[in-house]
Amino acid sequence: MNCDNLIKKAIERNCDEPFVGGLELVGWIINRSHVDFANVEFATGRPNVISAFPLTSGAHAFPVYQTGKKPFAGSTKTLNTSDLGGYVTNRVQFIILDNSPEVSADIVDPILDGEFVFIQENKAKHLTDETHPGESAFEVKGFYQGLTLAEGSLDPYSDDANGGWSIALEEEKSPVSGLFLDAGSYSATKTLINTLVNGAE
Amino acid sequence: MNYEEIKRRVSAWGTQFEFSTADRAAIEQMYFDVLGKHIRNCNCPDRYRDAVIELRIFTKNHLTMEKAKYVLKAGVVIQPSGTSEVYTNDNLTDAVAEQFLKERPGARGLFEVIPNTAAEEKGPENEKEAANSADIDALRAENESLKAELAKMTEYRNRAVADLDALVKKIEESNIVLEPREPEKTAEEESDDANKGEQEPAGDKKTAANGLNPEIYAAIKARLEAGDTKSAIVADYVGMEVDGKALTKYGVEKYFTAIKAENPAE
Repeated sequence: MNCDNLIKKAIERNCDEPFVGGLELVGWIINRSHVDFANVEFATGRPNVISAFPLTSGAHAFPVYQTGKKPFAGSTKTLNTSDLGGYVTNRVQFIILDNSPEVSADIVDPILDGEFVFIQENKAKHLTDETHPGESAFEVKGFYQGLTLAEGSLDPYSDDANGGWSIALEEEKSPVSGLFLDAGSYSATKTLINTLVNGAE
Repeated sequence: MNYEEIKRRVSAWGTQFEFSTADRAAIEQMYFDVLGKHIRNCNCPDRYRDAVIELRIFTKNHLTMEKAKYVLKAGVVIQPSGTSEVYTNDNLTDAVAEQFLKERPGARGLFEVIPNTAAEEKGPENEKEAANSADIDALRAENESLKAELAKMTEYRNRAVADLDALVKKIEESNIVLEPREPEKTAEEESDDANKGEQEPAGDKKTAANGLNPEIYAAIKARLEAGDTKSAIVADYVGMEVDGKALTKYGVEKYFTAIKAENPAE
């Protein structure tokens, strides 16, 4: 956390790697109560980078597959102000292209009252960064305050959701503008995410 | 299913062009058992073939290797210093895990399972705990034994109280009047009484029975035996307070009479 409130870097264009917006087609949702917070490790000297993201015994992450040209469209970060200082609102939006008793019971109903952490993969990954290649690829949302339901709907005639569920989760008052997952390299972090999905075995 | 069986079946599937329903079910099951995840649920035509390829690669790379006793938590990969190798539970070895923990002892929380090393390091502490545990067990056993003893004694007491109540009731019903008895003398008291009897001279007893003072009796007798005259003795004893009364001449003469009656020869 930057407690001195001093900017420490020039605001400039990244000439080493062209900046591209957007998100990859797959994200990962985790029940926040399954995060083993006591053993989460941050990269040394990098308060916005998580290097180890252990889950409690038996828990695992669930992939969220999206389709189309704009996966997770509506996922945003908003900077806000208050009398006590600024804060960040993270929003994660996704489509569930299905509707069934299992979808209701196993996904939508838990979302009604649950608290979640979400990992999204940016298209801009900083793969050419010399010291931390791939450090920008994976972002964690909901770590500090938890993501909870902000909006959700199912419109059988909706073109945006193709008749499926449209869900928006929000984390309010996050103290940081970005929290990244970086196990040392892009491939190491991708492997880490695979272990999140597969659980400890 | 052992490694050899897995390898054999995966190898056989690798030569097939199509999979039967039974094969598909078996592939799904093995994919989950070996890789710990489900085959992707999509309409991809080659999903089973892809799964078999993935299984073949995995078995070739990993199944010959003995599985590590250490298990990392989900969401953790380790990269020992000085190497570019990243370890997960799929390729972790005990040696790598031990080396990693030696470098970073504070990172134990990243492991789901750490085989008995913790217990070994805490050897003496464990022994102490074991000893304490044995003591606690012994005390518990003793406590149980005492409880049983207490229950037994309580039962005896209740039975005795019940018997006593029944007896009292019986006595009340039969109208028997119980007179209080003199307390029985102890052996010591009886012995004291016997000694007293031996110490008291027979004459004194007689004298006491005549209403004479035994000390005065003895003293007058001694003076008579010593040859003192009766008049001198009378002179000395008249007026002397004996048993709360002043001794008269007649009273002294009663002593003379009693002494003479006891010793007629004199």
